[in-house]
Amino acid sequence: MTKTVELVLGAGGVKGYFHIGLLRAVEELGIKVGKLTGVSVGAIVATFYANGMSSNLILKLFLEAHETSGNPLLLASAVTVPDMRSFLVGMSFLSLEKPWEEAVERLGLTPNDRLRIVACDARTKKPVLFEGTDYKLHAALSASGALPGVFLPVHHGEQLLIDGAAYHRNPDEFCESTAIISALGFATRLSLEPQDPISFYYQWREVYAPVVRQPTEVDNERHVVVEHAADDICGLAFNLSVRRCMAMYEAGYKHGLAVLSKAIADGKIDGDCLSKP
Amino acid sequence: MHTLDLQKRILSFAHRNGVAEPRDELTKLVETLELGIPSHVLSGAQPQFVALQIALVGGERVENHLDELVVAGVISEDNRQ
Repeated sequence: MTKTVELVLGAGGVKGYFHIGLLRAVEELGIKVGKLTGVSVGAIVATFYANGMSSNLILKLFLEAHETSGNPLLLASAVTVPDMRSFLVGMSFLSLEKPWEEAVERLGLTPNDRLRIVACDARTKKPVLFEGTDYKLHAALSASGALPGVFLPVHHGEQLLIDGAAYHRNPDEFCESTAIISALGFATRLSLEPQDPISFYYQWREVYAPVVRQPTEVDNERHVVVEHAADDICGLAFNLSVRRCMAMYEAGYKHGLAVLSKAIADGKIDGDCLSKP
Repeated sequence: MHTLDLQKRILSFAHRNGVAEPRDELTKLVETLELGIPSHVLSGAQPQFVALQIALVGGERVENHLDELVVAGVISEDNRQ
C-alpha cells in the first residue's frame, strides 16, 4: 500500500491563499497526499485539490473569483428569507447554499474518498463530518463556511450546521496518520490599507469581538504544523488587492517549503511518502 | 476570455450535434493541444471539471483552436458567443 501524508487545511477566509502556496510546496517536494480534511476556506481548497486540480490552477481560479467577489449579482444570489430558527443562529439574510449549489454543478466538483469536510452543530458545538461519496457537496461546503453573523446555518436533518471553525479551526482528530496542518492565524490588529466599511467592520470584529470562539490547538508531536501569520488581514477582507493575495500565496509557499523540508530531513515525514528520492 | 466563459465554450464544443461521447472530444482536445492534464482526471472527473481544467491550462490556445474550428466550419458560429 502506498504511504501518504494527510493534509488538514484550516479555516480563515481570504487567507486561504496561504493554503494554495503550501500545496505548491507539497507538490515541489513530491509529498504524496492521502486524505484531505478541510474547514471553511480550507474545505474549498481541499475540494479542488481532491478533485485533481493542481495548486497553480487553484490559484488562477481563486484570483479570477477574487476579481468578481464584489459582483452584486453574486451577492443577490445569496440573499434568502430565513426561517426564525436559522435567523436566530445566523443573524443574517445571506445563505451560501444556492451559490454553492450552482458552483458545484457548473464546476463539476464531486465528493470523493480522499475528502473530509468539517462543519459544526450549532446547538451542541460538536463536529459534523462529511466524508465518503454519499452527501451533497454544496451543503457540506456551505455549512463548513457558514460563520454566524455573516451567513445563515445549513439545515441537516434536525440539525443546524455552522462554520466548522466553531468546533475547531484546524481539526486534526480525524486524521489516521501523520498530517501536514496548514493553520491560518487570526487578525490581531487593524489594517493600514484602505478598506471598505464592511471589511473594516469584519476586521474590527475579528480583532476585538470575534463572533464565535475558534479553538486552534493541534497535536504538534504527531503532526507537521505550518502556521501562517498575517496579523493585519481578517478572514472576511474581500477587498484585498491582488498584490496582498499573491503575497499570502508566496509566503505560504516559502514557509511551507522550509517547514516541510525540515520535517523530511528530521524523518517526521517518512521518506516512503515522497515520490522523489 | 474569463475561464468560466471558456469552460462553457469548451463544453458546448464537446456536446455539439453529432458527437456521441463528449468525454472523448475533451480527451482529443487535450491531446491535440498537448495540455498535459492527468489521465485520471480525464477519465474520472465530471466533464464540467475536465473542461474547467482545459480552460485553466490552455487559456488562449484553446480559444484560438476553437476559433479555427469555427472558421473551418467544424463547429457553429454560436460557439463564439
